Amino acid sequence: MTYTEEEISRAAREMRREWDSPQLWPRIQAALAAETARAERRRAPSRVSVWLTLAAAAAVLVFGVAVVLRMRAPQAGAPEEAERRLLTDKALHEVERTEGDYVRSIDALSRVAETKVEEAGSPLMMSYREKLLLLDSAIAECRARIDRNRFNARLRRELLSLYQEKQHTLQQVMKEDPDAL
Amino acid sequence: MPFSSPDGRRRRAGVAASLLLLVTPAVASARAAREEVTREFSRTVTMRAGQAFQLEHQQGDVVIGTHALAEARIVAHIRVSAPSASEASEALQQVAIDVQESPTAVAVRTRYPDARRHNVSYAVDYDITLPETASLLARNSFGDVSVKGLKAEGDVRNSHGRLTFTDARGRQRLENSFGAVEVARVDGDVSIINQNGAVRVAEVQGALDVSNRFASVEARSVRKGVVVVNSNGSVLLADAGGPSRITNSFGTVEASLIRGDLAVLNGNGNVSVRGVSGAADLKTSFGSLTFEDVGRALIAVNSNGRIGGRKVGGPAEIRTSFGAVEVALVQGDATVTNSNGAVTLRDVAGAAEVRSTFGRIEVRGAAKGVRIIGGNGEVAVSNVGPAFLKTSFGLVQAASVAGALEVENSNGAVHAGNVKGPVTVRTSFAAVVLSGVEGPVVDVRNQNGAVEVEAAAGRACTRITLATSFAPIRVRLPEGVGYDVTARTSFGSIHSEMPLTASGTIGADSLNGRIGAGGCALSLTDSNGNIEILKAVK
Repeated sequence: MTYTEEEISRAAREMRREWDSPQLWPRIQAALAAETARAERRRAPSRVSVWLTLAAAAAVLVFGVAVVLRMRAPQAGAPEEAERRLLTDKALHEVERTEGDYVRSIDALSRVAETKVEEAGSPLMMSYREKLLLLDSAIAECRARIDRNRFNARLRRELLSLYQEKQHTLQQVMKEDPDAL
Repeated sequence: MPFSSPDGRRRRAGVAASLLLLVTPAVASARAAREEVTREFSRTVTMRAGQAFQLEHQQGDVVIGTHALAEARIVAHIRVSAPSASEASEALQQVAIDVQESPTAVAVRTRYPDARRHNVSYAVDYDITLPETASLLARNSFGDVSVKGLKAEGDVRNSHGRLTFTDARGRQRLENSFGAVEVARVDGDVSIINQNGAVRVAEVQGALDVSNRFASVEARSVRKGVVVVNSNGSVLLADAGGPSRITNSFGTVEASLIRGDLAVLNGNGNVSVRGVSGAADLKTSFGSLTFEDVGRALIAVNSNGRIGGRKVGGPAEIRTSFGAVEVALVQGDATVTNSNGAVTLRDVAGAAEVRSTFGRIEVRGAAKGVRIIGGNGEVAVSNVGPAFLKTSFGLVQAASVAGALEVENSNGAVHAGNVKGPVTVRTSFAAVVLSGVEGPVVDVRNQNGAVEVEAAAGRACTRITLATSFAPIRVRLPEGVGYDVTARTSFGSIHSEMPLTASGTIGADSLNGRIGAGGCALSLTDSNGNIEILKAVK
């Protein structure tokens, strides 16, 4: 049996029924709220990495402020002290404290950045990895020299410079998109 | 993105200064906590002709100058610090400066105490004056090295310190890592290897070979050819007197005033080249590639970046993808291959061949002809020789073609004017409009698109064959030229402004006849469209 469109439309109008459903909208609201909560939970892992990144950034900031405050501390030294080749005990203590700050900052950054470097296969990330290896090798060499010549200002300055460059390189890594190149 | 940049250098310099400031006050405030003693070593050694000077040092600065005398003056400033004066004095005596003479060399070596003594530290700085003609072999680490005025071969290797080398003559080999290298005014070939420090070179009266990894390279005024191999830093080469080659990745490359051929192979960075007297072979990706004034042939290859430039003295071969190409003033042939980018070529003295998909192609001025194979983009040519134009889904425009014009299009309109040679057009679903056609033949095959053709006056005969379907055909003919007309359509009418002598069967949808004295073929075939034969506009 076949029906015309008009017959179908008429039949549909006759079949229409209305009824009250006071719980419908509250149920939709509840379902939406539940879905939102699930989406929040799904996003949670990425928040961890965001917090890790923020923590690393905060560590860098705190370190930077510490360096600035130390730089602005009252200076009793004579200008020729800058030319000294060998450090005093107190100067060594200050330098080692600064080195410690750098190491902590680098450790914080490394937790985020080094995973990114090691996992990425792009030429740029491979290049960063190569540079970090080069820096690590230079840091190891410098520390070996320092073991035998702790108060040598040149060695200490070089180590701080290497730490600083490693920190900067890790910061660059964090900025890069691992799949960019 | 390069690791080292001018900003980076400034940053490092700032940090170095701040570290120094950081150390300074503490040093001053606690200077009494340790004892520091110094000793000066001084020795003068007579050097014979042919004897080399050798230095092996570490942990201190080295300053080397020269004089005209045949003697080497060695001064070492030795510093030792220890918790007590007696320990410091004892250690001071253990720092030795060995000077050994042999028929071939005078060798100087710094010996520090072997035993690890936790609270003893030392540093030695050298001031050395050499005979200017003595060759030099110097090694240092963790200190700066400066050499000035050497007039013989030199081999200087440093690490973790600045290396400065100036006012020299002879072949020089310089190596450093984690420190800048600065070279100026050398009359001879120079080879430089660095790892992680900027290299700056100026005024070399010989060839230059530089290798670096994570910092910039800058070379200016080199008499002969230059080879630069870098990895993650910018490269700038200005004024090289011979064939030069630059290899880099992740950094910009700039080269100018190269008297010879130039090859640039970059990985991911901009390349900018200006003033190459020879041929240029330029490659990069993920950056723009620009050139100006290349004397001979050019090869420019890019991936995911634009290519732009002007003035090429020979042929130009250009390839890229996902970037526009804009090139002008090519003295030879120009070949361009692109995908997903527009191509604009101007003033090519030779022939132009362009292939691209998904981009507009425009060639203005290609005297020896143009061959374009496009994909899904518009094609436009003007002031060209013979032209072959192929595309689809795009408008084809041709103006002032001094030769044959052949167009293969699909789903795109074709507009052409002032064509001196024969015209062949194939397209569908769009109009074909030809005006000022002076060639001997016009052959248009269209489907589902109008055809409008105007033959230019002044030519004895232009044989015209036009065919389409589901659209009108309109042809404008110059007065005074005789045509043998065959016109046929279905579901359309045939109309002629020109006096026409009919022959054979005459119907509403077909016509055979003659205009004037006849003699020139005019074939018009349509289905479902009107046919109009009109007088050309004077």
